[in-house]
Amino acid sequence: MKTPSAQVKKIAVQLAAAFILILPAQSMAADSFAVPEGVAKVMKKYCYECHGASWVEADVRLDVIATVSQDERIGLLEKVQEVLYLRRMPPKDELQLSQQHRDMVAGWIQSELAKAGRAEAFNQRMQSPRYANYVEHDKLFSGEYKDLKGFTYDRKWMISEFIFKEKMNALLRVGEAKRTSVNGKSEVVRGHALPSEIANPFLLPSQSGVRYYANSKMGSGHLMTMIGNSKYVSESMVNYLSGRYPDFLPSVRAIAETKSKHEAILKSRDLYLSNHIDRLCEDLYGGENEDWLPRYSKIEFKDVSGKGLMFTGDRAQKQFDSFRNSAEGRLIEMAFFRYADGAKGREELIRACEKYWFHLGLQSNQIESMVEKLQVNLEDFLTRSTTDREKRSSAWKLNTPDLKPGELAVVSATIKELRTKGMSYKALQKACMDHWKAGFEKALEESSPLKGELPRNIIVELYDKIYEREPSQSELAENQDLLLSYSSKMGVDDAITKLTQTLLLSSEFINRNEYGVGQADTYGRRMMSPRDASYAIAYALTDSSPDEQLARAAREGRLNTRDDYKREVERLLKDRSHVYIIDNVIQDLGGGDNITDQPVRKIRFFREFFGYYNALQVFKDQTRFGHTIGGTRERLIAEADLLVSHILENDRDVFKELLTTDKFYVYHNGDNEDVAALSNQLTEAYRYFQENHWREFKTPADLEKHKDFILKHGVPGLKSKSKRGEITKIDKDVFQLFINIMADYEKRFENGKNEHITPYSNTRDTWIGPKRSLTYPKMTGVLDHENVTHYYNIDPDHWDYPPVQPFELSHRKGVLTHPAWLQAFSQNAHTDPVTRGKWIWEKLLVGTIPDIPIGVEAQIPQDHTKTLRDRLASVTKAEMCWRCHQYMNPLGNAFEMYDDFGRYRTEEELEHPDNVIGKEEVKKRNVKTHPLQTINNGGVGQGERFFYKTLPVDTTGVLNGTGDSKLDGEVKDAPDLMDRLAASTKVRQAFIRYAFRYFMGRNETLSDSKTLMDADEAYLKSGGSFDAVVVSLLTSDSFIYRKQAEE
Amino acid sequence: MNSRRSFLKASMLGAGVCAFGPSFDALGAGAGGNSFPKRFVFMRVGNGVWPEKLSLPTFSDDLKEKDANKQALEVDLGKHELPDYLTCLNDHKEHMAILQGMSSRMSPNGHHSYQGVMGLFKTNEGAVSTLKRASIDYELAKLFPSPLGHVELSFASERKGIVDGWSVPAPYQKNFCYADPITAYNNLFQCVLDPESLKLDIEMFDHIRKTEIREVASVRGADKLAQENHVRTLDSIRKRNDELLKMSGKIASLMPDREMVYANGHDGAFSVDRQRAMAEILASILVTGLTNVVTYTIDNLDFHQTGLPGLEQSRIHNHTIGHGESVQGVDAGEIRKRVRVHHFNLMKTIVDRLKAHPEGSGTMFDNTMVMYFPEGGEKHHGNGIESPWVVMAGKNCNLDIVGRYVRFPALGTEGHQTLGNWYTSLLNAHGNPIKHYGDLDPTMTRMKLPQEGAIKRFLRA
Repeated sequence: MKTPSAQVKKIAVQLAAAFILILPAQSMAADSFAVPEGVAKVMKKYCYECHGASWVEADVRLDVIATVSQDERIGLLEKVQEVLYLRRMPPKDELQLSQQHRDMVAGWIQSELAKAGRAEAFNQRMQSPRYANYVEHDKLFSGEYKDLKGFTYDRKWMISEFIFKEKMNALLRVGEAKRTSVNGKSEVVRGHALPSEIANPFLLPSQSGVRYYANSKMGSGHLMTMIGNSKYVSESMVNYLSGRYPDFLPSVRAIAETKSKHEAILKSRDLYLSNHIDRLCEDLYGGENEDWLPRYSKIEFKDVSGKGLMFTGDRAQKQFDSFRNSAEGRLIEMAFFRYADGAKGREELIRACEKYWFHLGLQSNQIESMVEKLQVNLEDFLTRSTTDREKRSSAWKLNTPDLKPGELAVVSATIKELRTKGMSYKALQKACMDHWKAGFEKALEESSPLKGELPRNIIVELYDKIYEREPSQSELAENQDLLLSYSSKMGVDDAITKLTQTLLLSSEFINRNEYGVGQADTYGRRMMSPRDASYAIAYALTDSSPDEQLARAAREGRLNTRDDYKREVERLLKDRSHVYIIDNVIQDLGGGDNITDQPVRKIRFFREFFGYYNALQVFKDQTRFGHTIGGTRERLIAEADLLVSHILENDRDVFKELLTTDKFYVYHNGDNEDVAALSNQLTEAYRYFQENHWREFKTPADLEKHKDFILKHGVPGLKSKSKRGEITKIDKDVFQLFINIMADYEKRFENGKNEHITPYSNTRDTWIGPKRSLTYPKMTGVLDHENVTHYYNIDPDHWDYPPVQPFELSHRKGVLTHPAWLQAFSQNAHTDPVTRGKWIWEKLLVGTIPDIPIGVEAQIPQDHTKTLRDRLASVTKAEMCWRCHQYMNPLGNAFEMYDDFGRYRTEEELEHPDNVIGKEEVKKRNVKTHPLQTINNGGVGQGERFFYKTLPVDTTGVLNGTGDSKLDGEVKDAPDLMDRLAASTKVRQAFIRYAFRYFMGRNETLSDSKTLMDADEAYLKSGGSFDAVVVSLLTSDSFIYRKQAEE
Repeated sequence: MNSRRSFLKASMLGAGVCAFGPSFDALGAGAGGNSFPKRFVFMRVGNGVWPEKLSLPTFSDDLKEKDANKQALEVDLGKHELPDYLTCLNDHKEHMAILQGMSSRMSPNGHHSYQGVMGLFKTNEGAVSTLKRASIDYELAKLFPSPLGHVELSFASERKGIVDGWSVPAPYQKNFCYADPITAYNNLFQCVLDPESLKLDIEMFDHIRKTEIREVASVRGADKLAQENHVRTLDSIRKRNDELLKMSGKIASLMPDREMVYANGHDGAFSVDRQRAMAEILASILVTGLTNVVTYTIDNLDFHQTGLPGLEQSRIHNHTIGHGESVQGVDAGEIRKRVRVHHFNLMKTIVDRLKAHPEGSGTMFDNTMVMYFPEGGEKHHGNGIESPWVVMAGKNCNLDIVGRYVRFPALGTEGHQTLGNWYTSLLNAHGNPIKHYGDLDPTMTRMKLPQEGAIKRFLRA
């Protein structure tokens, strides 16, 4: 370490002295703490030079450790413990502690922390993903530790956001309907987004790498959010699903059915009274009815001439309809229909309505408002409402059929029983409804008493649905008591709902247990219980509970050996009968499917490892891009998923392929047959109309002559207003669209294309003529989505579209050169060599980088005469910075051959107002080529695009860290770097380490050495099969065996 | 499937806390303590707020020109008259700040901004998957916990019941809001109106606690700590429910009159009356201490105005006003003015109610900020170049803003401030040290102009 200059050192000493002087009294208090002599000597020799009285590096001063307050001391001890463990101190270029000294200091610190009750804090911290790489790579794969017995501690592992989603969807039976998808197969798609009423409290962190770890534990936030969720879910289960599905809580169904019948009766009575209560009361009370009503006195209203609603012009009827469909309009129209025929003249009609509203029991200001509207707009009601009176009368249920036999007598009797003088109709109606409701609740309790087997059956069914197991006897007993207690205070159905909610709020619902059972072996390990194992296997590969075969294997004692595990894991890996949504964000926004029929967690490992899905998190300015971005980045991510899926489906040299493939998907749905057929359809349509001189078409009649071709063959993009694309004749709109489409076809073909143009459409459902399969929506999204090609420097208008993909692209090599990854590791307006290099250093070379020191403001300086690489170098060259940046910058710099959108470049634009050399309105995309063509440039980027001075990019870098002298060294650019990384043993093993963490949910330790080496060997022997790695990991000791956690 | 109206209906507890995300670990932290909590009211409106209508009529020619040219200026409100829109707040002028020139281009703007204006990200028509971060109101609610946490009220799009809201509790989570006064009343004051359901919740949580305590004994290590923590959370809930029951007497004395809410809050009532009823409810949940943060969407573009002075019988679509159509011979600008005057009267209602309630040596308003702003920028088809705010803040306000008319320089020039700077100021001033809240503005980025951090002149030393 360099010695600070004398002057700086002097100032530091003064500051340190001042610090000591102003320490509060309690900090100076001697609490009889003493540093053992041996430890003190070691610290003095190795630490005090930089962390002592004469120099206080990073605000850490250790020579005063005995005199500071207890809290401060604990903080200091924890810091020292960490840097010793991680071997960050002393710095590499300083005198190093012997192992004996290191152990002595570490042991002392641990004992002091134990005294303070902080012994576990360090261990827990070391369990987080960010410390995983600190286990020395060479040791793990050296074979030195392969005889250590692998195991995982017994644990409760909180469910992930994905498992929660699937649990909820299963409980609510969301997405059970089959749909036709890939190649016309009929299948159930899993992984749908949650109903909007449910909040997901188990969201995983967004960083790349492994996101779902078992050391995340439930906190109060999870429970608080679950309270809201549980209300919605319990009500849906008990009140809705049990009634709809016969097999869903059958014991509750009888209650639900009774309740449903009651509700239907209540609804019909309510409707009847809403429409007829005045008439019924007149029948029942005859001439005395008026005496029972509130006393009506005419309301004096102000002059409202000239005021009222304006229903004028072309939209008058529409405006009127909108008004009469409002709550107020409905009441006016109801009264109007009642009295329009009998009233003599306008005044009498209005008074009759007013009186009716008064007797209904409406508020006076509401009556006033309605009377005034009726006064002013009576003409509208007279002319507009009478024309469709019959229809409207029916719509407002004025002609409600009579009640079912016997019902009128019940309603009449209740009115007679409950009516008191002065009661408005609304009040009377409410009294009746409350009365009947209470009666039905009582009847429900009497007809379905929570006696006998019913409570037990309800609880058994709820346990089956919620916990997927049977309740124990004690659980049965206490839940029965609880149910009865609830039912003593609320209706039976509400009590069951409350019990359901109670069960949903248990910690059992939000945790997955992984516990060993049975006799421990000589190493203290026990195999997971078959039930726990079935969930561990299912959740390793999917987000769902064990499928029937796996659950049966657990029940029938066929999940007790390593071979049992192997059988089930291999079966699930081969299973293609389920389709999963990979990412709801992409599915929602990408304009098409983001699905896979492989086990979803296999693909998710790589998308999280690479972290390319984070591209969406980096806000990009489309003016800088020069094209509309909308939807393209979702498509970019979906196409990165396609690439990963494709490589995993081939399952050969997977890691190498991921790092070095030069074949990519661009504006494709992954189904070559589908896309080729579409492209051919489009080309043939173009040829047909070219031969038939479409340019000479002047009217729809000209196109009408070719209707048979259109209906039989289809013209991609040509759509009708009909929801299903039916067409009876070619109208002017279809004709106009045809002209626009053909003009666009022609422009593209004229731009040098031979075979295929980029397929596009608007809304596939409304296409006229034959359509492609349901994978086709991936190609929709109109012109905006085509802009995805610009990330690859491809102009879609000049692109000979390859329908068979992935296809070879120049200047690209592997996922790290995919624009999705490059954007995910970029800043808003520039590239980010640091995070790119850091990713490679940590993920592929399993290196470590400490956090940015406190007080360091990591900013690349502004200098509009230099490239970003040079500006970065200028600020990171300082020794303190370079200590870490030496591992990142040389790797990340190689990616400077791409800009922050992921476009290949040889020159870097020096984006600064002073460097502007030109600007232009973003060029219009569509050019008019036919006199009848209409131009829509809605999909073009907005505003002005600026052009700046440029400098050549330097794409050279340095690879240092593979441990292989043939690979380490200078690299010329990113593809060169990727080739070398892919050839590295260490990089291959890095994939294995991260896969271990992903599938085990924890960091690896030396006792997992054999597990890791076996997985690596399985990969090599299988010719680079990732499936082989997964089988190896999920049948390893580390996965199968459990030990009791230490107290 | 159940309607959302049924969501939360069973208990008071759920109504308040359902939307809190995992970050809400400070359960009950608001109880006790010596200092009074800060309160925040966000009043969102649709159709854009025209900046020139908030300009001060007594500006000199020089100031008028600067204001019109979007140049920086700052004047003492005390030395000027307020514009027509704001005269109802004349008596509270010393508590007012008019903030002009801030931009909101990181939000969608246009007809609707959905959750974007309070979360400062682009949304895809409010799709859950685009909700990038907790909105500013939720961030503030975390700093000042209360029994109900955060409450959202809304009149957007003629909805009623409990519906999707425009606040964001946590990334990728939708909020729920009360969309009519009667539903809001019955749910927010349920501990008074239906204490039995709260007691049932207490019974439920007591049972859960019993089973979870058993679980503590059967686990070890980190799982044990987590389980113990879980039990502590249950204890906190129990404590809070008890508190709510204890508070019910006080709440009952401060909650709005039922007849008033029912008379003015029903579907057929004038929109202005429904909005007033909601404002009364809003003020009541603040003065009862049920919450410290409320977001109130007074209207949006799909809203129909009824009962406007002089146009009582007209049902005026906000969109129509936005496109400049006149109604009954009254031009759109005049209608817009009547709408805004009504809105600022609602603001006055809230301020008056809070000023009427003592707190410490002053009133509850001393610790409150009431903020009025457009969801979609400066006009009907706003693009977020400007987002004018009117703020009413009490004397203990942590920000140094009141009594001033402030115009920041235009977007793309040195010194310009975005809503990101404004929200960062709110957070920094109240204990969240975040470096910058929200997405960055692309124009400022392209121009290489500084745009991160709080508005320093607003922060008190």
